[in-house]
Amino acid sequence: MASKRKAICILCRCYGEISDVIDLDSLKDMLTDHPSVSSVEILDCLCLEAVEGLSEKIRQSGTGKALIAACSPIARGDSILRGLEQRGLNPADLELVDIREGCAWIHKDYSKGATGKAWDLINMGLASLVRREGSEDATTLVRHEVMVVGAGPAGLAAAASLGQLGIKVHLVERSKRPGGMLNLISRVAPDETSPGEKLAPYLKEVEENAGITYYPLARIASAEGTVGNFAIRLQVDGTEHMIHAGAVIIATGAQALLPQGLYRYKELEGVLSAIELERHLKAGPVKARRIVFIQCVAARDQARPYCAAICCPVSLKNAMGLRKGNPEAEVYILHRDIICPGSTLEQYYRRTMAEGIRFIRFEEQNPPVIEGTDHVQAVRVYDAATGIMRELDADMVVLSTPLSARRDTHGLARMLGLTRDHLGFFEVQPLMHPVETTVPGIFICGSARWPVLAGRAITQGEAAAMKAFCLVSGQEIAALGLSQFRGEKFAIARVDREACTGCGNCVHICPYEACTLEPVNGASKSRVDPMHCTGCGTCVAVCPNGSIQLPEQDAQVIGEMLMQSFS
Amino acid sequence: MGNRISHGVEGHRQGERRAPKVIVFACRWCALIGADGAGKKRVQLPLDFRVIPVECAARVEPDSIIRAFSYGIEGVGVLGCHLGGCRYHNANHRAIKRLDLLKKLLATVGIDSGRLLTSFGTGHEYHQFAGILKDFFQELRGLPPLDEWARAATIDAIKV
Amino acid sequence: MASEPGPLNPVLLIGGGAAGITAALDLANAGRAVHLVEKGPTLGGQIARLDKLYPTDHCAFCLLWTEVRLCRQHPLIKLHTLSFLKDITRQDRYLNAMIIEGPHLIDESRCIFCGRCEEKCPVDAIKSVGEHAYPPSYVIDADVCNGCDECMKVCPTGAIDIHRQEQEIVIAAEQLIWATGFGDADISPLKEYGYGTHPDIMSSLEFEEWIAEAGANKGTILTRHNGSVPKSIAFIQCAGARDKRMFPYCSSVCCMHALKQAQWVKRRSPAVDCVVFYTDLRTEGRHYYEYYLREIRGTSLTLIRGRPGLIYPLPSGEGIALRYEDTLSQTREMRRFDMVVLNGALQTSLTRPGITGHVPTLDGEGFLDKAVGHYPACGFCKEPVDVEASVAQASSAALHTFLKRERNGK
Repeated sequence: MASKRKAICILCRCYGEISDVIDLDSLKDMLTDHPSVSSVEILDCLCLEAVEGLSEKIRQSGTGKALIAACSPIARGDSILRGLEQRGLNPADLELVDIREGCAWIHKDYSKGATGKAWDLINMGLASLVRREGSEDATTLVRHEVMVVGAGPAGLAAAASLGQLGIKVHLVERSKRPGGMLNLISRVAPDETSPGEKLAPYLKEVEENAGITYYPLARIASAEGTVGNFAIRLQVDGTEHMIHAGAVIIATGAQALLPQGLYRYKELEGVLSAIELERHLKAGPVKARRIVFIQCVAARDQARPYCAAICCPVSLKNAMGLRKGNPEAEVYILHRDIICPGSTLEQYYRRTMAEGIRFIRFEEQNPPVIEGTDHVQAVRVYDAATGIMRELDADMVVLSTPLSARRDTHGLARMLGLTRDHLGFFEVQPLMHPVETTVPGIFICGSARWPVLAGRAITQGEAAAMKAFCLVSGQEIAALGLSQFRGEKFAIARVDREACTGCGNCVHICPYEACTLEPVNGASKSRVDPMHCTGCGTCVAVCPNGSIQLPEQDAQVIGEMLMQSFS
Repeated sequence: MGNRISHGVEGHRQGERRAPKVIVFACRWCALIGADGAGKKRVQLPLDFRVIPVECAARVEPDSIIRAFSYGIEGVGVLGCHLGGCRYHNANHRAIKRLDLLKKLLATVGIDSGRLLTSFGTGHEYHQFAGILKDFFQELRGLPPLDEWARAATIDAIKV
Repeated sequence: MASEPGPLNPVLLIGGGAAGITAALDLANAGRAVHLVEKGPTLGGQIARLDKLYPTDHCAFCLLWTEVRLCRQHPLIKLHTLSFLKDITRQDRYLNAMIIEGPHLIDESRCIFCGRCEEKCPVDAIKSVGEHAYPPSYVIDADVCNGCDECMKVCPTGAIDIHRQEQEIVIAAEQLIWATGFGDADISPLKEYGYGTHPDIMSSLEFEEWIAEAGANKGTILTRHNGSVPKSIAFIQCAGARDKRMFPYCSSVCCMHALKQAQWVKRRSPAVDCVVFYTDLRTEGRHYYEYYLREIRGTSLTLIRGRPGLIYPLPSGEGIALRYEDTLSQTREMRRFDMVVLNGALQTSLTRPGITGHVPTLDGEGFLDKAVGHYPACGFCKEPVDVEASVAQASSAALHTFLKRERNGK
């Protein structure tokens, strides 16, 4: 709806930076006659004006709508707007037009042309301002509860942290015992602590904190709802539980890949997977005298083009464990690169070398060959660094396979609307938001995200807990505020129910699955979930009749702006 | 038909044509950073372009682009972030596909596909933005003026 | 100017890079007040100065500036730029931290970026805060300034006062987080790398600046000694790192950093022969190995396993000689390169160079990771990590300050 409310135009001289090129006085004259303008003011330097005074001026002009023609938003423009909003002005009533970086500074020898362009830009801004509406915000009460899915090191750390912060936690675990993959291993790399020791503080908190409820042998039957209030139905040992959580943290971990069909696994005795070796090491000193580890088994290859990060430190740790149990044991590690980045891991690598563990580099195109009839006897490997073909006597071969994405979490991913990358790991936001998924309110940590050692899984669990805490510790969540990189979302898409034909284009195209079709009086109509919608406008571009729009910048606004663009 | 040709011939005379009018849809992130950068460096640019900031390049409707041509705007640029760099979860991927298709459709009504400029991730530095714009003006100057026949077709095509 | 411990019992955050910004925002979003102390004139740290970030090839500013904006606009975050931590004393439950702030010869809040001061300055003491900075402003290098005050005369807003002195501020805080990040280390003591003997033997951060799209050459790949187009560039990994003479640790980010730089060189100048000399190719992070496969194998980079034994300039303008062993073919070679990029010598950066501030106890390798102390650390100052891990550590550190609070019975 076009507003009849006129706007005050505030033009900034920017101490001559703008006014030396653009004739603000003639703009003022022309604007005073403009049907959408109530009054015009020229100020020397807007950003240095007391924001209080500015906001008062805007309020007193009658309508509270203002068009500000000044510098770019990246310079001071944005902070001027923020300041005005903080003083209670409605952001939908404010429009910033850049006539400095966008006009005066790039056309400094063309005063007449620049003034004409500024006139056009201001007209375009007014066209936008006149039609501009604020998106309807939606708020939801937040449950001060978080569900953590998975009780491995990441999940335990997340649950314990949140519990200590006074948030109610539902820690859901598929198996009976907490600990995840740490239950299967002998020692934790690289500090060589026992898994029990590593997890003790978190287990203690989970046990003692009345606010943390642990659900072993649980299955997630369904998940509905949205950030602030997820409704999850759990099946625990035959009983059904309904959980309401403000946020969900995924810590489902990854699974150890078994080296099926590789390096004569299952064919010869003595050829073990890394996980099997862990079992042996847990049981006590291992009798084998000549052990050969092979790294990058089923990893960094065509089928699995990734490095799983943990296998090198784990092999080092196991090699040390073997030596501890049997100081006479000869241990070789055949590798393609030793992945021990950083200070701690590199130090550990040096320690293992000092301990007498030997490292032989092989190349992808020339893998080692296992020899033996019933039992493994030797490993033949082309030592790439010396150019010598080596024959290593071996009575045990350990195949280091990567962690791969769990296949049994497909259902969970679908229920929560999470996407996975082509390797099967859950998608996350890049770089500055590593523990956040594309679904608001759902966080992720540990190897479900990407293979990590226990220490880093714990750090990520704590990071996810911190993010979840920020989300659920308030009373309410406002949809407009749910933006990771802006103070407020630009907009929330709005559907004109009458016009909507239910074609489903928006449903299909929305990157956040914010649109759904729902039945309304026998017809299908699009519905936008305000919590998921980010205001990108992709839906608007594919709607065949313009029934879905962004109130802050609808199609007619753009049309008007185009019409005003060259007067 | 006769009308169209004569317009084309007249338009080619040197010095008679005014500068082409250009609209640039710039996403508020990469693209606007480039435009802002050009301003801060005081790179001098041709006068006849207007920037319409959009939250994401995916927001730009084919309808708006066609409408622009129908109003006599001779070049439309859509600037966004590089593939893999969109803040809105790869919404720009869809935008790129859509715009490529639109270029082909515009050509069928006599609007040279060079009139729709797309730049995704190549305009975020000041010199890149300036270069893209200047090249665009250069290219547009090389084209015959947007004639009435093409404009009429676009007016038919826009949404009511 | 002492500040009383208010009801929000602020947290002191030392360092305004990726980790510092993340921790500050987490704390502020959870309701804690934060004093963010940054030694430079602007936020973003080392990451903001990079041309591109792996593995998404984002330009660094693009990714960071929104966080920087949120940081600056947050009512609970008080930013102190050009500041460093001078001293800390404990007082019961509180820390009294002395911060030396400034001198801010240009008041950033009054700078409208008109640039008249820069034009007028006769000694080139005034520069823009960065190619990309939010908000943009100018900064005066107090060491170069000759006190002529021409800039003050032309500044329309009165933002400049070249006689402003640094200030001592005492902040009463409840907790502290270290997030000081890293910096280049001088590798010239390791003579075999030839650093300092030829303008085209550069550290990786210098090279990054040199080839940056926002830099002096606008992304064009040119040699530094005469601006010509190079035919070959060598990237030397583990130069100064994994080396007992200098840094025994692995800097963790350099393999990907070099691969990223090399593939961008190839993208912009496909004819340049790029050779990466590595020891172990550490591409273990999320999607890093695929980045390597996709970009590197696609752009025909050469990878040679070996750490060069000698790098030296060839007589007059003939380039740089590199003697190395290709360990995978066991051959010893000598090759000529136009440019050499040394990767590896990165170290913790705790304060401004030349400043004696408070230095926490470090472990044997110079990090805060295994050092005994009260305060959590995050990012490279804790241990060599990439941005993703650094940021996760920052959120974790923010959490620990909260937990500490709970344990103290608050």
